[in-house]
Parts: sequence; structure tokens; C-alpha cells
Amino acid sequence: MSHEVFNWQINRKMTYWYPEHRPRRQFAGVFDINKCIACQTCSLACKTTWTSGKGQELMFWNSVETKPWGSYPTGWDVKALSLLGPQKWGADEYVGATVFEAAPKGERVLQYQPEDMDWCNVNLGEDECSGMIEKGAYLKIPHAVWFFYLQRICNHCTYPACLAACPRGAIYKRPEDGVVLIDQKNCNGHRECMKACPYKRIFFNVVTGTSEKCIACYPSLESGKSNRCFETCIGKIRLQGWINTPEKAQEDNPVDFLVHIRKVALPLYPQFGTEPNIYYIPPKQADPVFLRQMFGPGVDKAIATYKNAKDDPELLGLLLLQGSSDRIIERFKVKDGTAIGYTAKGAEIVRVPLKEPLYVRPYKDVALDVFRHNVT
Amino acid sequence: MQRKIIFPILTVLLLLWYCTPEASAQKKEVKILPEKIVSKFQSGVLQLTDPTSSLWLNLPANTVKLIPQDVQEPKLAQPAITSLKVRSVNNGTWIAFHIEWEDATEDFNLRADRYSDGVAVEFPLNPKQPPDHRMGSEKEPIHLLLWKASQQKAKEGTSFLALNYPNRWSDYSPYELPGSAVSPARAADIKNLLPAVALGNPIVPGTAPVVEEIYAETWNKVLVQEDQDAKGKGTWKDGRWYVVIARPLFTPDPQDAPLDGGSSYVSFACWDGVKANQGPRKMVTEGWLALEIGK
Ligand code: SF4
Ligand code: SF4
Repeated sequence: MSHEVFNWQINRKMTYWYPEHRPRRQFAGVFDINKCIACQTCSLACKTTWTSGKGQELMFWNSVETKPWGSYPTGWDVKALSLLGPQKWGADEYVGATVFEAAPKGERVLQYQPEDMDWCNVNLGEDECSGMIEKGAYLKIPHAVWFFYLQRICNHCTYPACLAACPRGAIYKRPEDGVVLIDQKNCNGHRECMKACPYKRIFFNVVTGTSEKCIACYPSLESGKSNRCFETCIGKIRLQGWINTPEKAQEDNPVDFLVHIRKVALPLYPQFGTEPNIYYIPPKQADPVFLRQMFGPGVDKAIATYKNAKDDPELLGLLLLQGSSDRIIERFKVKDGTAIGYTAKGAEIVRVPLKEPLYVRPYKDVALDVFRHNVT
Repeated sequence: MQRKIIFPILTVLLLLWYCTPEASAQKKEVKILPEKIVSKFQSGVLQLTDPTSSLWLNLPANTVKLIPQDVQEPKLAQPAITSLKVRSVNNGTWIAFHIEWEDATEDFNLRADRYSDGVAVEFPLNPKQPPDHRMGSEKEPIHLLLWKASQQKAKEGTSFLALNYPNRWSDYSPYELPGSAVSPARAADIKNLLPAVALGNPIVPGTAPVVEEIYAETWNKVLVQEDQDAKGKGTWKDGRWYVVIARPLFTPDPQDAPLDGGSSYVSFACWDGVKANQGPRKMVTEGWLALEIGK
């Protein structure tokens, strides 16, 4: 069965297995690729919290891969993109086919069967740059030879391919927060979801015989706290919140501000058509052609806006609020050189200055009658 | 006058709706094939433990043709196992089906890219009026007996973790190291780390019976039954599967198809693991075969 739904990321109607049914609010995240140091703290925070059980040895619901060569599971993006064929953007919309529209007869989603070995090399291609560094090369932006880190969790898509593909109806999207879950009681281990997810964020557990995936740390989400991978991020690259559709965007909602107002954060491979809800601030040093394929035609503008953050106090303030609290910042304000994060009800969570205060102590401590020397 | 106009309009609208994908998906197709399976009466205990026994192989067999499942997505694109040899006996309280087919590979392993061989015997809950034979239809359920090679292997003690990853390391495995007994508290912790196990998902390898009884009322309503009475065993030998599936002719379970009336219908489905057959990607009979239960 196919239904007509609207996908704002490709700015057009498309077909989907079920009718359009958006949750009351949608969990979303913004990852600033520019700030990631690939420390993998996020990957391990997730691993120790959720996937330390038997049969989960090869599972990383959160992983960080080096682009252009790295991938986990191996080759997931290259395989999905070549299967989909040329992906063309028109002036205002995506004119190519989505994974739903390109599904062959008898299938619900365009898909492929990954190999078990694909999950065996979690950090394949780490820190490998795009090419050889020529003699005489010098630093310029974008870099002549580049790499960047891509942080990945399940996108808790608005139109999940995994959910569409499950013949048992064992995958559901929670109406209260849009989190996509596999019902572990009813999953029959068919792995249709694993084949269908173009981002390959479904994992098979050989001990339980069921498929498993990122659960968006829903117990902490329900109590207003950030997910493990957001909370523990060393580089403070992650911002968690709720996203509205563009026509309902609210300027003081951090995710809406970055995605809809400043348009500095973009979805990964929007052309797949699943309307993924993790958004990325593209890396300014990488090849724009590569980035356009990944994040769509908005890349150049997003990078220009990002580079201008120093003259955009609201954007700068919000970027500084990223990773500043373990609570979910649902509203924000920038005032008098300070960015302030609030709960949905307006209670202050955190405030950060736009400029780090600088204190200069006098050379002589009069009270103690000593000079302040650095004697080490 | 008004009535005369409204009635044809309604008829046209109804016809139009009938042609929509939704309506055609709901259209049930009941097909009764000319073949008949006769379950021979045989007093005494039925041979359920050795499917390669000559007690079975000397019985007359029906050849049952299979076609790819092609009504519900995901469909089976390429044909796999195209025919089964079926034999049946009953002893007045139990009925057993012996199913034999050619399969060059024995597929029982489970991991991301491995699928299991399997076979299913299906009956309508209402023996007088069978529904669509593939998964029943709303309020017209079917009763499925599913045998899977993976479940049998797991029941026999195969660990798919050890089989596929003999050198794995699990951080919490020290609690299970030989010589250090697992305390009940620790056992509960270990179980909770396996959500499907903690929730009692009947699919978990090693916990499900070798032959699983399923109740289905359309493709979206497939339930593993609470009462599991079926038995069975499969043996793969020289490129052929020999599987016996048995059940009581009558049980008080309202989800079981009654077979004590002497006749009903039966259909079959088969999965070839090496061809990634799984779930709806299966070979099925084209319709129901009449089932005559000898007394
Ligand atoms: S990223 Fe994949 S697993 Fe996650 S919701 Fe989307 S389709 Fe499903
Ligand atoms: S914890 Fe943050 S900085 Fe470290 S790898 Fe993960 S996303 Fe990057």
C-alpha cells in the first residue's frame, strides 16, 4: 500500500507505506561536525549503557566514522547511494527518487542485504584523509586534502524505512516524542528493517534472534535529560531538542533556530526520503561537492552562515549553549552578551557568556606584599 | 426519482473503491486445489523422532507444488523450493505430516546475513469455510505449525554466538566463567541485558519449541500461541530435508484448528535459508488441499 505524504526536507510530496502521521513532538539533534574530535566518548557512553549484553558485541548504536573513507557498517553510504542511482535536486526540490519511490515491484523499500562482516570493523578508515598531500601544499579553506568525522545514531526518521519494511508491524514511532522503537516482544527477527534502513542503523542480535536499534535513551528523554551520547560529548558538539515542521518553526526553539531559521544545520542524505531528525552543521574545511551530496543543496549557505557566527550573537550564543548542560534546552535567549537556556516552561537551566571573561591580576599583591611571579 | 439517481451513483463509487489498492489488498482469494492429502490411520505410537525412518519413507507420498508468495510485500522475487513430498498418518489422537524436499544446503545458522530453512503446515480454523490460505483473513483465522532449522539447532544446544564468533569477548562474561557460579541476582541482570528474553519473546533461539504454533488473521495479526502442543523434528541428509510435524487432532485451545471432524484443508509454506527466504519471502502452495483424516 502506498500513501502520499509531505516531506519538507525534499520539499515535495512522496509516497510512503503508511499515511502521514506526525508525532505530537519530534525528538531531534544537531551535531556540529566542525567541533568533533573523534574521541568516541559518545560511542562508549552508549555502548556501556545499552549494548553490553550478549549478542551485542558488534553493535554500536552510536558510532563516529571518518569521511570520506570510513564507514560503519562498512560501505553503508556508498552502497545505498549507488543503489539509488543519480540523485538530482531541482531549483527548490529534490527531483530524484526516494528509497520508497525507487522500491522494485514486490518490495516496500529499496534495500540491500548487508554482510555480517560489515559490522566487524567499527572504525575502519579512521583519520584517513581524502588524498595525498602534495609537496608545497599550504593551508586554505576548504582544505585541498581533507577529512572530517561523521557522528551517527538512528535518525528517528519521520518516515522510517525500517518501520515501513517490517512485515510484522513490530516497529513503532512513539506519538509523544517521535522515537522509533522495535518492540522486542514482537520482533520476529525477519531483518527486513535492517535491509531497508538506508542509514543501516538496525543491528541483529544472534542471542535473542531479534533486531535492535538506538532507543534515543527514552528513559532520560522522558525526564527532560539529554541522551547519553549528547550528555557525554567532550567536544560539546551536540544539541538535543525538539523540531517543528518549517511552517511552525519557533525562533526561540534551539533546533528550529539552527535548522529552520538560520538553516545552518542540515539533514544527512535527505534524498533518501525518510526525513531524518539528526541535523549536521557541515564541516567548513571539506570539499563542498562531497558535502552537497551528503547534506543537499543548502550546504554552501549553511557554511557561510556558520562562518559568520562571530557577527551573529544569537547563533554564536546558541552554539555556545551546545553541550553546556545535561538538561534538554527547549528555549533560549541571547541578551547582553549572555546566552541563556531554559526548560519548556521557562525555568533557567544554564547561562554562558558570549565572550570568556578575562581577569588580569595586578602584578603586585598589596595585601601580602609580594610580587606575582610565575616561578615554575 | 432521486432514488433512481443515487443508487447508480453509489454503485459506481463502490466499484471505483473496489479498484483502489486498499480494497484489492483486502480482497481475499480462496483457492481449493484438486489434490487431496489422505492421512492414513495407524494405531499405536507415531514415529516422530526419526524422519528418515523407512516407516515414513515407505508410505505413499503426494507431490505438492509451491509458488513464490506474491500477494503481500515483501514478496519472494525468485522461486526457491518448488515442490514438497508430503505424507500423513494419524492414530486417532495425533496427526503427523512428513515433509520431504530437495535442498542442497542445510541452513540453520542465524546472524545478520544468514537465514534458516523452514517449513509450515497450515489449517483453517473453520474447516467448512477456509479463508485466503496465505495468512487467513480478518475474523477468518488460520493455524500454522512452523518448523525452523535454527530453532531446532538452538534447542539441541547450538549457540549462534559461539558458532559465528568463537573468539568474541563480552565484558560481562566473567560472571559466567567456568568455576564461578552465576548467582540468581546476576542471572536476572544478565537476562535484563537481553530485552527480548526479559519480555519473553517466543522467537528467542533455544526458548521456542521446535515446532511453533501460530495463529494468524491477516499478515499484520500473527500471534504465537500461548498453548504450544505441537512436536516435530527435521533431519538434513544428502541434500534433502526430512521433517515431521505433529499435533493433537483436537485440543480445547480455541486458537487451534479442529481436525477431529474427519476432514479439513491443509496448505504448506517453505523457506530456503540460502536464498534469504524469511517471513513473507516464502514459497507457498497455490491454495488449500483437501485433507481427509482416515479412521
Ligand atoms: S535511521 Fe534507520 S533505523 Fe533509524 S528510524 Fe530511520 S530508517 Fe529507522
Ligand atoms: S563525544 Fe563528541 S567529540 Fe567525542 S567523538 Fe563523540 S561526538 Fe565527537
